[in-house]
Amino acid sequence: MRLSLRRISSLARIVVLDGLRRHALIGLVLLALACETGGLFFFGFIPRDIGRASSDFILTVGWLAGFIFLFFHAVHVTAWDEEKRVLHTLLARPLSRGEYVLGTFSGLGVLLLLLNMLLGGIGWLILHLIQRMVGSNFFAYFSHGYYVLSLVGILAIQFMILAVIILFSGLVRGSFTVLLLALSYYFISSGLPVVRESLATQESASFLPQLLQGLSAVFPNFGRLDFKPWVVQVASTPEWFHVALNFLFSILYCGIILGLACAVYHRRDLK
Amino acid sequence: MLARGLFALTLCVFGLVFAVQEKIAGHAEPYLAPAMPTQIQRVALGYMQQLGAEMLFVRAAVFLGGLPAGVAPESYAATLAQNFDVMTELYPRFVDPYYLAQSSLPHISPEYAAQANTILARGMKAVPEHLILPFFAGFNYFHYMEQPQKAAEVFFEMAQRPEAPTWLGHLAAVLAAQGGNLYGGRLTLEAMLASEEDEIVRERYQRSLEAFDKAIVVFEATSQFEKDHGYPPDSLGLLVPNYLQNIPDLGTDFEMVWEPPTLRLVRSKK
Repeated sequence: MRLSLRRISSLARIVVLDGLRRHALIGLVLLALACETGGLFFFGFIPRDIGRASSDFILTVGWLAGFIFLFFHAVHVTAWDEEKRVLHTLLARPLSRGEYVLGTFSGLGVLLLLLNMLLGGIGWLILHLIQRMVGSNFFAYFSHGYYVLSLVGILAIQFMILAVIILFSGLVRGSFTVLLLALSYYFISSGLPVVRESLATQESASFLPQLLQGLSAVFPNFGRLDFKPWVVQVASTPEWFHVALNFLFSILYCGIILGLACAVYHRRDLK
Repeated sequence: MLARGLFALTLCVFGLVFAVQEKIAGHAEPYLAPAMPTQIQRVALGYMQQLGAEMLFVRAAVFLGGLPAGVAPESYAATLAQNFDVMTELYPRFVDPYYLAQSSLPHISPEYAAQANTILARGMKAVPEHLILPFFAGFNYFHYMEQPQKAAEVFFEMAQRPEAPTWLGHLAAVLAAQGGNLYGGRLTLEAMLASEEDEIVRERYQRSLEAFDKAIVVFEATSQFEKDHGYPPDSLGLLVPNYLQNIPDLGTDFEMVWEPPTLRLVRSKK
């Protein structure tokens, strides 16, 4: 077990170091920082609800940076590209396929964590600066707890998508195919709650609502991990039990998807 | 050499085309595009839907700010209302669109005032602590849609809240009377009088109650007239002397307006 963990952490370290030296990722971080700084200009367009608009802007930029990281860098790293032969090189070492999956997920997860911590920290400073500039009339309330919770929520969403990307990388070859599948997964997950809501207002005797409910276990509702509205709002905060339940769901979801990915990689013929 | 010349020529033509484009754009009328339906935006934007709503707001605000003088509001009102509808549906807790909708829609026509109220209703549900939103809705009912009774209902509901200003109940009563609901207005005033401690305000409520009581006497006389004759009187003068000794004087605060079969109590213009 200890040796296995050591191999996983070694691979994770390789993935992290590889990511840190990539100019594309450095560029992404710089772009995201520039966009967050743009929040100092964006709030000038908002006459009243400056606090809400600014916090939405900062958190959305952080989420978008993670989104780009996932769909371009993570897909590129995990996809089973014949030309790269990275997978074959790694598995030539005494590293099991399951350890490869967990090591890659851990490494990319650490990169996501570093990205979100950096952008979250800079975003926090910018929001405080905006709050001091506009005063309490336009930015009355800022919850540090819900700001951190929002960042953790973003991270949880990104981990779930990352796990699915790794699963798709085991199922199909080619980074572009994995990218398309991952995007489809994301849009289905975003669209399913909308469809369920519209069906809830109609009376239907068919099995469709139950089917969609079942599909929501596979294509989760990422909106349940969106805590942006409460960063600047005092009233009607979510119940802590529901929050904990949603995070527990995301942890279990990642565990199940990674378990499936390990099984897929174990059975897949590399040639 | 030829390639360089060709590149330089392309660059020159590009600059010329750009200059002409900018000149045309400078004369073009501002245009606000309809927003994509809410459901599509929620799917496409996902986690970004709140920022999407805020971007729609910025676009609408920039459009309104850039309108040249003399542009008929009817030319853009429908698209503007649709944009407000989408952005408030995407992000009901964001209050700025409600303010902008209130400042740009109701004055156009009663239909757009009704649309503004539909948009405001969403805000009243999402951010109930923002008392200004039901105030806007009540004002629209009263001023733009000429429905004082509906305005009274909105203000009366607002007056029940602990943080509401004290004059709201009185306003609700006055508007109820203006809409013809004398009994409802009187009940509201009685409740206001019972809970008021300020003597000057109590005196004011008492004066209003006296006016309401006199108006109710007149209204009951019209009801009796209708019961006897089968139709309401054409004017209040017909009630004298069989149903009333005289038409009561309501003082300087109110006057009666008889629009058969409704008796309204309106603020006096004296």
